[in-house]
Amino acid sequence: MLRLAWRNLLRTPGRSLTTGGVVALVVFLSLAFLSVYAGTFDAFFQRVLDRTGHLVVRVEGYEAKQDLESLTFVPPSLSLPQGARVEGVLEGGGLLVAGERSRAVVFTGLTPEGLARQRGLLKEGRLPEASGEALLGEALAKALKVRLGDEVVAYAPGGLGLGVYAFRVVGLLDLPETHLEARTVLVPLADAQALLAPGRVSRLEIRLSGVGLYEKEPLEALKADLQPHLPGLRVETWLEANPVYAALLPLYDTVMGIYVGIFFVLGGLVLLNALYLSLVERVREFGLLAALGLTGGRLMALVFWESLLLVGVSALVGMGAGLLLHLELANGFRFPFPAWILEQYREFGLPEVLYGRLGMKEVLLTLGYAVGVALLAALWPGWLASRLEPVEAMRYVP
Amino acid sequence: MVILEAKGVRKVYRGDGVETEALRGVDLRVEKGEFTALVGPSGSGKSTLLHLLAGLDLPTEGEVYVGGVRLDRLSRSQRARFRLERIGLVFQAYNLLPVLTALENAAFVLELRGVPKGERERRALEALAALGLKDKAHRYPRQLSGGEQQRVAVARALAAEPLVVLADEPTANLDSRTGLALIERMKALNEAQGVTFLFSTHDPRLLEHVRRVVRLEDGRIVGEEVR
Repeated sequence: MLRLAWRNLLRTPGRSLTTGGVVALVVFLSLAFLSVYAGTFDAFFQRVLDRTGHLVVRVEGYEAKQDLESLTFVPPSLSLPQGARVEGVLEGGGLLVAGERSRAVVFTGLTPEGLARQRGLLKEGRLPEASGEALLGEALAKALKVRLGDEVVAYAPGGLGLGVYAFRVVGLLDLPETHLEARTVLVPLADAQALLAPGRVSRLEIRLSGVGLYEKEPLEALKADLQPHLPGLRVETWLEANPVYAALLPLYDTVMGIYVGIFFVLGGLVLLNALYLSLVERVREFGLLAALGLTGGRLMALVFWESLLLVGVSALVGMGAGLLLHLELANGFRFPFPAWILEQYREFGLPEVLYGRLGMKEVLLTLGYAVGVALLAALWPGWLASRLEPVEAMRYVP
Repeated sequence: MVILEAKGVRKVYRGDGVETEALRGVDLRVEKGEFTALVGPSGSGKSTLLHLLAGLDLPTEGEVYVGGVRLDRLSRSQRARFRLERIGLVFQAYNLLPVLTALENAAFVLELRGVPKGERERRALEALAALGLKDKAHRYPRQLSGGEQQRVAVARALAAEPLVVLADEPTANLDSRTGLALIERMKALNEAQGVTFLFSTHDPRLLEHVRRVVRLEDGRIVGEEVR
């Protein structure tokens, strides 16, 4: 039966090649899409993780608190596993004044490591290297009409710190969201503490080494270890600290399934058309097979074998090409888009260089769709073949 | 021993509000080892009777027995399996699967029965040799003449060692010389191996080798001749 199915495919090489080509293309595009899609997803969440740290320690009930005093705390000493790092961050509102212009801003004090992580956002200038140097969002700098090297004055009266501090602008930041860019001032942590709350931080970011992007268990274990020793403070994983983004994670599989499903539905229609045409052209032959003693079930099996063979071989070809492309994408790739499109792309917080990712799940999903489409597309022609009356079928004139 | 038996068989075709009575109460018995021809003009019911005897169709009335099994009581798939195991079929045209060689075509029924490759090829080759086609065993149908294709179809039927070979106008698409040669081959196999043949034809020139001739007209048996 298998041999017959195979030879039937070879008797119309043009049609088999066209149909197989479509299936191979669908598999290839699916793998390419899934590689880019997973890479984009990873890049997005890697950014969120970079910004947050694996675990975040903040004041209990921080969501409802307003004043800086109750939102900040003196960093406690933490017992952390080998390779883990802790960085303090202090955030507080205030006013930034340049000449006769002023804007309400959020001052963020970062450790040198925290500042170094902003390098990718740096549009112009350099990172702060000494006390009294600041990074401004590009939109904020425009609003205040300041340039690199200009001096600005920070006012944050009524807090625990000095309430006033002078900074020199050493760099401009290009942030994903423009409204954030118009309010962002990044300064060394010590300067922010002097201005807002000496010796205090508004959060601690704990960064672990050797933990995968979506690995939850080590984070939950460390959180459970730390929490009992931090009264008045709350430990959260990076996903708990970013609930809006965390809600996107479960959508990954759904979106992946829907997109690839659409590809395969289109491919399946082409396959169905080819199988149906092949059946119509061979009605007399099917009649002969039935007359010789092939039961309806075995006739249906023949159509299924033809479909599975065609899709199986084509899917392997498409998969080979798709995996080769993925190997290229996995080394990092830059979308070949014009600058204005890349600008929009950055607005979504995505890097210009992505790294494709393809797991066993994605490969199995693609193969599963291919086999499913092969079976579904063969169902109707197979059923028609199984219902043919041998005498009528052998008299059929195409 | 009776191999084929039709008892009071009627067949009525209904379509587009018109009823056509193709067989009007046919009684026929064929004994093991007979070489029988069904003759009659076009539309006399020869093909219909052969289809009913092969279990390809069901009678409107009457009973059909093959090897003692009542075919008209079997389901569609049971009849298909019965044909596979017990009946050899040769048709007027489109007998062979174009993607298989002559040997593979001749062995096809055995393959469907699950006979091991070595044995089915041996039996198919023997059948092809008996029909003078051993040297063309590896040719595809398109590389064979019409007469050779019909001989391959007969070889397929013989290789399966059926109870009976039913052939519906096997010479209709052949010239008279080739047609006669085919009937001579079939007759030789009947005599040498005792294979039971029942075939239809409307060509009286082919009947000189036939021992029993059954005449059909307007769906009735109108005469029988045993030589």
